[in-house]
Amino acid sequence: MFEFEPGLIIWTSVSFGLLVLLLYRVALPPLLALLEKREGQIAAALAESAASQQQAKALLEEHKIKLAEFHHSAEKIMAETKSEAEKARAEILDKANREAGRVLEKTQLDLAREKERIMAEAKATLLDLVAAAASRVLRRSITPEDNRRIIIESLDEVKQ
Amino acid sequence: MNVLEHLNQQTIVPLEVGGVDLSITNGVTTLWLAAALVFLFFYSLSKRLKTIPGKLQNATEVVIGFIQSEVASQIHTDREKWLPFLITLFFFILFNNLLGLVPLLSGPTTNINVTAALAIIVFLTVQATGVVKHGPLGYFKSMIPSGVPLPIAVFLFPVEIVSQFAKPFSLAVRLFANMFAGHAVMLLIISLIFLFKSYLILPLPIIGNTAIMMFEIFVAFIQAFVFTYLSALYIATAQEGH
Repeated sequence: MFEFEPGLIIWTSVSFGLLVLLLYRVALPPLLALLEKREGQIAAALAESAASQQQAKALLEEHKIKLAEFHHSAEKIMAETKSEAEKARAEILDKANREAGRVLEKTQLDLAREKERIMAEAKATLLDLVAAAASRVLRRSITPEDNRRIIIESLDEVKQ
Repeated sequence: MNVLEHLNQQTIVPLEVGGVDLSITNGVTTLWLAAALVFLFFYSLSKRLKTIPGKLQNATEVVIGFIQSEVASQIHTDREKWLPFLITLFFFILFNNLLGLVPLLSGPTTNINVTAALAIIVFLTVQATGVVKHGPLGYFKSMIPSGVPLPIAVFLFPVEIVSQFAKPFSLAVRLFANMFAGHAVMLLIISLIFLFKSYLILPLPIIGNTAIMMFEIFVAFIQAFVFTYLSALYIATAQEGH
């Protein structure tokens, strides 16, 4: 094992040389080609993934801008709607107030008319009673007690 | 009794060509077996490649990916062209290291001649790469860092030449020493049985050798990685110069 053995050196060199040649020519090319192909595929997939990521990022930015625009539009629409609603509310309220005032005025007018009518009716009734009382006075002599009683009865009738 | 004699080469078929002993030894057969297994492993794998890998293909891809990212990454010029050489170097050393752990098989990397041959191959590859890249003169010039004053350059040049030879020497000795040490320790622990000649000592070699065997599997991977990593580093240094 320590002696110089040229035969072993030659056989080692020949064996290794032949092996290198055979592997280089026959066995390794398909394996290395496959590895290279896979490496290429992985690199392509990574590049594609990076491109997709970039595209997704750009889309996200675009959507963020659009979303901000939508928010802005929505706020504008909301403000406009609110303003219009306020305006409509004011108009409705004003109209309702005016209607209520008109109804109140009409009711007051009706009440006044009714009151006048009732008063007129009361006056007419009073006159009728007074006339009736007078006719009774004229039919017989009246004592002071009768006079007082008649007046009281007349007043009671008026009250009724 | 010298237990380390078990690590010596046993001639199977004597052969001499031009005065050089090319006998087929048990070490040579293990070398061939390792080479054949590595080839068959990758050949069968290349015939059954799937886009969605199975367990074996996945494990192999992990190892090759590791060699690509941790070893071949040292080389900055024509990295892909060097990959088959580095993969072969790693798996050839690994299979030789692992086969050395199989009982009745000779561990080729426990022989300095085998590791030296691999280191010489790396050395020649490194020098050839440097010469091709910079030209013969340019390669020698590239060994001296630019801007170094001439007196220091004169001193540095021989140091650099020595270091060129020290690199393969360290590669060969590191791999051999690590693998040999593991085998030597295992043999020494087994020899305790013969030394004490008692069954009572039996648990110690069994437990001790099992533990060392586990560690040797780890060492087999580490040493294959270190050898390949340093080879890639030397190739890169030859390409780029100082």
